[in-house]
Amino acid sequence: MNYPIWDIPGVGYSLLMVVISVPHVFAAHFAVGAGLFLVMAEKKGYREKNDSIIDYVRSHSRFFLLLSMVYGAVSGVGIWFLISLIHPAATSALIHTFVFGWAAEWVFFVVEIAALFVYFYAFDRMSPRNHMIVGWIYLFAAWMSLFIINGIITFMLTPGQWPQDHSFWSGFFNPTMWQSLFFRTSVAFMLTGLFGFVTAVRIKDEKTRVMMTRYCAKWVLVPLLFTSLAAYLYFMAIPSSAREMILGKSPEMSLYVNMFIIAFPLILAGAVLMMLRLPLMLTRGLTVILLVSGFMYFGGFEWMREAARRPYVIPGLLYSSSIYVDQEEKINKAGILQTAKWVQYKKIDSSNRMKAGREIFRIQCQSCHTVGGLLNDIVPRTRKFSYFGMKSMINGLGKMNTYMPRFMGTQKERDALAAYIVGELQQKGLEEKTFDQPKSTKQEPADFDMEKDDYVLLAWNDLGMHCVSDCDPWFVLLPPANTIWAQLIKRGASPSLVTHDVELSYSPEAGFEHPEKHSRFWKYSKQLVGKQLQPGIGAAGKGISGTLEYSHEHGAYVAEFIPVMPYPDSGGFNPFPVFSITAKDKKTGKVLAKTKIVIPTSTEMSCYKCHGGSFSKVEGTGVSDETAMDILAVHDRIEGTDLLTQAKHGHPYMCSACHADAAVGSKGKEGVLNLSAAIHGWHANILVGMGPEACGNCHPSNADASTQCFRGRHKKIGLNCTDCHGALEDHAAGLLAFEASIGNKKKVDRLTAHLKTRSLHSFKDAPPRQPWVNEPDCMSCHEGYKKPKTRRAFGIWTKSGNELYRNRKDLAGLSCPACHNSPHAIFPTSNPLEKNRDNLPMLQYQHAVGTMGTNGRCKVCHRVDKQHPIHHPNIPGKDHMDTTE
Amino acid sequence: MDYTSLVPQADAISVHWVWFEILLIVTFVLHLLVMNAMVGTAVLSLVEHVRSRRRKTPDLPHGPAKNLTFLIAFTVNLGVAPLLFVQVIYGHLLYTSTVLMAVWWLSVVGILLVAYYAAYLYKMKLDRLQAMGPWVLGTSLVLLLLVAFFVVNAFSLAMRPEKWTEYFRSSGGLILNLDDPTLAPRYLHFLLASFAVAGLVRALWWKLKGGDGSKQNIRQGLRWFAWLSLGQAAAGLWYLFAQPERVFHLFAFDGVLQSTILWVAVGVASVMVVVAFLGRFVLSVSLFVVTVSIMAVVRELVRQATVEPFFKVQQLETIPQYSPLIMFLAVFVLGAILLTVVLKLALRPLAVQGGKL
Repeated sequence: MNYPIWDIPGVGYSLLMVVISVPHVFAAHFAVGAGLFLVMAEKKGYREKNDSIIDYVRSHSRFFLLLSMVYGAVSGVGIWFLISLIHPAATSALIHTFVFGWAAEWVFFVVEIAALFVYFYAFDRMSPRNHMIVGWIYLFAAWMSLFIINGIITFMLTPGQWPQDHSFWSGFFNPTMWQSLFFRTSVAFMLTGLFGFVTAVRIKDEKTRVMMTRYCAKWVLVPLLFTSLAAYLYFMAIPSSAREMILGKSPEMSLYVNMFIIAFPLILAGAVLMMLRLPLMLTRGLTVILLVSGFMYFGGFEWMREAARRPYVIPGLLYSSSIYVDQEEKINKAGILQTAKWVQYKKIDSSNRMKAGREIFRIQCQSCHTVGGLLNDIVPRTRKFSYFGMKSMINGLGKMNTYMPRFMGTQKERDALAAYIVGELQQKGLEEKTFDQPKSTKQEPADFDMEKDDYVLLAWNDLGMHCVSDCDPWFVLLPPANTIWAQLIKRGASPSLVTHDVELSYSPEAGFEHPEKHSRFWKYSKQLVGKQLQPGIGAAGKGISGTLEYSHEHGAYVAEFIPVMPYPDSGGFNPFPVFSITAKDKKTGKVLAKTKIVIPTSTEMSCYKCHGGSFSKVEGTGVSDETAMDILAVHDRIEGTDLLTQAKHGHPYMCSACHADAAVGSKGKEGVLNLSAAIHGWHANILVGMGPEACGNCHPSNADASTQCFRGRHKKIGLNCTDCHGALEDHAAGLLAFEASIGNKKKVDRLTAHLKTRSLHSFKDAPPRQPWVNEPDCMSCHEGYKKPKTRRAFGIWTKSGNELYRNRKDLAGLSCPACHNSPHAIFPTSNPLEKNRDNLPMLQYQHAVGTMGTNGRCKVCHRVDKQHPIHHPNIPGKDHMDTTE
Repeated sequence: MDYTSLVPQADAISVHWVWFEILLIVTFVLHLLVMNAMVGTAVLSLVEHVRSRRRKTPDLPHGPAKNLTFLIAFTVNLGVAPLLFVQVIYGHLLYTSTVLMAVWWLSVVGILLVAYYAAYLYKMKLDRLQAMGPWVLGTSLVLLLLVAFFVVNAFSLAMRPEKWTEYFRSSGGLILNLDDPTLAPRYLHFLLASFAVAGLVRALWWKLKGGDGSKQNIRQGLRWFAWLSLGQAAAGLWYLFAQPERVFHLFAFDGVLQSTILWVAVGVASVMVVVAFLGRFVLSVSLFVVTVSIMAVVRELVRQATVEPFFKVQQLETIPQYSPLIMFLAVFVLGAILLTVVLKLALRPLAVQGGKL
């Protein structure tokens, strides 16, 4: 940001670092260990009076000179050059912080060179004693170089107190300095054994060759054991966040970890084999394998260390994007383009959006990502995203998975970046896909004769907004499961609820009789719900048509978990099938009453926007297999599960198998967030700063989408999801606050670390809420059943399940939804398929679409007009909405 | 675009900036001397090799080339220190210029490796190389000069923010500072200095070797040195005139400090040339060291003056922390002691026989 950024299409900084730095550190550590190896081998030669050993030392020192003095020295400068090109700000910080450390290292470098030249070129012209003194001096200087560089390198992972005091010494003697030094010293000696093989296997005299090969093998084996102890100590000393990164939180880490882990036994086994008297060809082959293994071992370590620093280059000072940590707030306010020096477009408009997006990409992404390059190619990584999905993904960067820095900049800049990635790199359109609108057949209300009929049958679906995930081979968020409730009223001056001697039944409209034809749920029912269900039968044993049972607890008839799918046999999508409910006299079979109600069920979940794929249906519904697989892949990557593999092997899960979900009666697993908290908590960090449209990405609530489930009175007066549930961030905060209160603090902390609440001052102010129990309380607006004075129900929750709107009853025992209809579809409704589809019962009974008994129509049940509010205060009152049809 | 807005924010330094200037100049002088000796040795060896082939002399006088690898090693090593200290003061400018020419800058590493190994190849396998010998040595020399060309580009581009806006047309690290009027004379100035030192190396070689014709060869070497130094002076004059007007006036007449130091250096250099023509080897070498040292100060003053419109070294923020400097000075003393011990142990046998390879 402070510096220009080098564009290297197709290569990328990471690859350059691998190519230049890993071979260098390999040679440089060899350069340290070889100091001791040469002196000890020389001593052995003199002690044993064995000239062939001395010859070997001479030959090895020549190889050593050419490798370490030339390649090691120049490639070391090369790393310096490279980091100043790809991370100039970090390089500058390291130079300025440790300038005298580097200078001291340079002094030792001078001594190293002089000592090594003397050691090699004056081999035969010095007394053994003096020659070995020079060797010891070389070793001391080389190890001191390592000592100094080690302090600086470890600073870059664990700066310790440095961010607070900016002291050279705090940074140098940081929390992992000694552990790392132990590890690197051990590795240096191990590597010198490995390199020793290179010259040892070329010794012509077999006896000497075997002897020196064994000698080198010991040099490998003993330090190798120390490296494992040192690696453990080092690992335990790094911050827990870095440990988590190594243990799989970072997606790029697994390769390096595997390299490190696999190489260890290879080196061990190879060195042991070298102790044996093997044929020459075999020892030479083994030498190559051992060197490659050593390269993997040390390279894997170095890259783990590098990657464990994420999202920083220098923790507390610089992000890996070379943005200073203390500038984040400023950038978020003023914008990255205004803050950065090396940008051409300071302001974004429609003409330069893509170019500005390119510049933002360069600043924030390019230090790690290539465009079409070999490592961390951004193109395949963002292929799945729509423009909306890309914007959302950018919102979520670095919040829960901290290996990437968070996006820094304004919303406009975020949009420009997303537009560049999706529009230019992916060559996709930025508009969201359009879909066919659902169709339905017109429904007429059931008959009702105000004079003759003795019964009024009121029925409702327990939820006005209901979704089925419809990707059963992969996972099930909610299975096909609608619950119908009904109350039968015997009309009269004092109407009564009929609770026995009647049979209530339900059946769908034509075309919906076979949900099993439209869902793969039954194929996987055993895995999903633990029992093999008959096709078309729901989890509670109910089919698509059947009877309702009387619930004494609720004082109403109920049929639970009816498997309704929104796909009629004739094709297309209909999320509002109409069900006929019939009440018969149990003894005579006489039909007492009939009514028709909408049973809402949708598969409209726009997961594809972020997870790739598409809707599975042209009408804009259904979670496609591609989308579902990505959801599982992401879950597996983040949580360390193997759900995708299991699903591929025929074992999908319901989310509630692990995540508690009162909607399906699941207690989940201990220590796992409940389903609502987990999903909302996660996505609240991604779908940020939005209104009700955030909800509509997963719930079928959006006004411009296929289902439009939010269709009742509240919609008509202009309310939206956020008025009752809060913006997504606040909504999630309440759910997470509950989880925190029951001991899931660690999991909650991860989701709330960067959660920016909207109407709440902070997460600490969030009103805890247990899903399906503590819901927005109608009474918070409808205080005293009067016309509301406020439009905000968020934060005042029902205290128990009994207080839920759908479970509440009036003074006469009638359920609230019996007269007002399901939540989100409060009478009068305006159904998107046909306006009065939900209003059918009201039209049936009172030829008006408002609440049951609206505008004084008490005689529907009471047969006579009434003046006193029997059911709850303020009845009858003139409805403030025109409800006359 | 206002190019000064591109100048990055410099980081704070830990001790007074004068410390870094002193360390920079001292280590840079050491680097220059060894680097001149390195290039001079390579030039001399190449010339001698080609001449000896033409004369069909059986024993090739390629002796000086044996030292080329040592000189490369110490040139690289002694280049590290000034590069470190210059980054403390001018890092924000240098990082910028090197990013703009990243491809060339990074290629320096590969080029240097090839040049270095070519020098070793020439040294260790000369007999086997036969006719390829001069080509290998010549390749090494050309590559070393190419490294110098890129380094000169980087350091001159660092002082030209008006050129930096080219980044918005070419961000692939391929920019070179070729349109800088100071680039050619600056590079030529350096080149001729190194070529001149080849004459000094020749004189030194024959002085150490002794024997028949040594006196004549020493004189020839010094004459070579003197003539090329005169050429170098001409290049220096061109370099002075190529400076931006403000800087030129400062060093020509206006700036008391700047012009005084420059003309003192010119004076010493003039004496050096005369002395070299007179065949006084030790005095020539001594005056050469003095000239290089003063010129290094001049060079630093030129840099300060050039960047003055957008950066003043005096304005660098200092967050004092002197204990690391003390540690460095202690390490420096320790290093000097160790070097002395190593050289003391090695000097006698090395002086007598030289390296085996």
